[in-house]
Amino acid sequence: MTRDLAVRSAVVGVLLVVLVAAVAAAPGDIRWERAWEWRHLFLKGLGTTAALSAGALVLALLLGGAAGLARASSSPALDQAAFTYVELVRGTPFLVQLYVGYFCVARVLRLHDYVGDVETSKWVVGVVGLGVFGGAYVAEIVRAAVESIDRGQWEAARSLGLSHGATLLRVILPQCLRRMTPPLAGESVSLVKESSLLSAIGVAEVTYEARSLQSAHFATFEAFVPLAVLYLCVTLPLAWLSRRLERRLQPPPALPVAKL
Amino acid sequence: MPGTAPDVFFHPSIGLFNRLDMNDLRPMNRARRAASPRTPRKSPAKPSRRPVRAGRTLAGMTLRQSPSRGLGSGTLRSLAGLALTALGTLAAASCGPSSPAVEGGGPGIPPLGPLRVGLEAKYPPFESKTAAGKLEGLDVDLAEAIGKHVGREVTFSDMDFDALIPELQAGRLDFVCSAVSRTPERAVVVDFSLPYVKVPMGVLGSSTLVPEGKGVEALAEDGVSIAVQRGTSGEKKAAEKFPRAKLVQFATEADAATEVAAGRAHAFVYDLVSVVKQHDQHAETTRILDRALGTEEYAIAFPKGSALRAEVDAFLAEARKPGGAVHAVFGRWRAELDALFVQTE
Repeated sequence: MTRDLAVRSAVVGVLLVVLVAAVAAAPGDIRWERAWEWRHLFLKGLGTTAALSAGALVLALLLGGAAGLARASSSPALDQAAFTYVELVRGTPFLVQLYVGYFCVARVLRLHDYVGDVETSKWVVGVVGLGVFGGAYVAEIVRAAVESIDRGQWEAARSLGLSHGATLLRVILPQCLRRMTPPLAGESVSLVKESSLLSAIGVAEVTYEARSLQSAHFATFEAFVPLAVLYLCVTLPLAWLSRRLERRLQPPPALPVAKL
Repeated sequence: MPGTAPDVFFHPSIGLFNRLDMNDLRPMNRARRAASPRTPRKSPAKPSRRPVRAGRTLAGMTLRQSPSRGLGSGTLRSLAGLALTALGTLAAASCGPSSPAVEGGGPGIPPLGPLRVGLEAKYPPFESKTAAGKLEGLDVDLAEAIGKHVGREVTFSDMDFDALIPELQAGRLDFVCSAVSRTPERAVVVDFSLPYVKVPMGVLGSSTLVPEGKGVEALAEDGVSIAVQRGTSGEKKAAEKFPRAKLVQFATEADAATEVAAGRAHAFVYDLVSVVKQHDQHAETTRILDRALGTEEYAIAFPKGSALRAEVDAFLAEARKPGGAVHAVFGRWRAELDALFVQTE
């Protein structure tokens, strides 16, 4: 434990040295008190980031859960549909999906007329885009978890007369839950980070606020260093939670198997 | 759950490995550590060796742990990698900005390496890229004329507009020649040359959101949103002239203007050069609301204290005279500049 801690501190120390060296070498003076003056903007942006990511996570879990189950289902059509969705989404960068979604699709559909105003339409594109993006990865997590369950479980359930669907829902999925939880927590960390790209379509999340402060005041360090720290304030607790869950959900040790 | 081993789930052969980060890798590390007799402290209650039945497959995957990997070697390797990356960054950080910008030169003095010129090549006729990817425009010709005058090669870096001044500040550019307006705010952090052109500012309005027959006065109401390009003088001017409007920032001029054409923002404030071009692009959906919201002067921006600035100022002053180098540069772009109301005198 102490060794782990020492190594972690060493890495953090190295990064801090890098940062301090960069700050020391920076031309012009850096006035950190300005970052404090902008705290309300930062916090407002962080709130938007959190809300967007939370909404997207719910959508990603729903979509990804459905797609992951479709991949494990006995219907080839469902399997192929889910496979195509996953491959299309994973094959394009999220930024490009956002561009297409906002500057092409939402524009042609006149989404802002349906949802009331432009601000809302950006949120819709942001949450749906991020949710669809995350859903593809969640689907892979679900599929991998289902496939990791011993085939004997399937065979036993089927031999007891359960249908494919019933086996999946009643036997396999409950066992999957604890395997999926840690990577799903990891996925939520990813969503928080990916949400920074929504600044490209003018959603006022925390990266957008930082970029506008940077360009308005030519304050690169004062805008971006607090931004990084703020993201860490959200993602590190999530990562910690993910590790906790992983430890807690560790399966009990396997029973000793008699050597034949 | 007998017979299941969680580490299999994270095996690279599953295919989602590229998305997993360090956290997701941990079960693997722990499984290895738990199997090690030297580190029993993590889970003393567990059996020191998990029963792994070699060669057994689950859904097509092999359960066998790879014997070639030493205990904990992955962790060590990734730590070493991290340390290397960090050191690399440190080296880059410590010698990057602190190395002085290469400056000087001049007629008669041997060249000091190429002049590093920054621009955002999305602003014809000042700077843009041809279909073949070549840079062209008034600013490109001007920078090359300056390079010729001081006897140095010119290399261009194309980047987002709001990155130009930070790059100057970081000492990674010798100057920025990219239709940069001289503003008092920018003059605090960079040194400007003499202005080389004057342009009026304009307002592009949405035909659907701004009622027919109304002008900029329609933008003074509540609930108006104005699209701007981040870090431009248009953004500044919009905030100043329409304090009640909500500004929405985009990284590029095209994104901001498209927002107006799509009927998602009331107006777009920028140099008339852009406003006219964007109106041509979206003639049906937009209207020019104002052609004289103020005047901007474009100048070349240098890092604070740059020795090159005086030389470029002298060159600009001299070359403006009929027959001078800048006159030739302007002459080449005369038709385009006149069409966009750019004043060169």
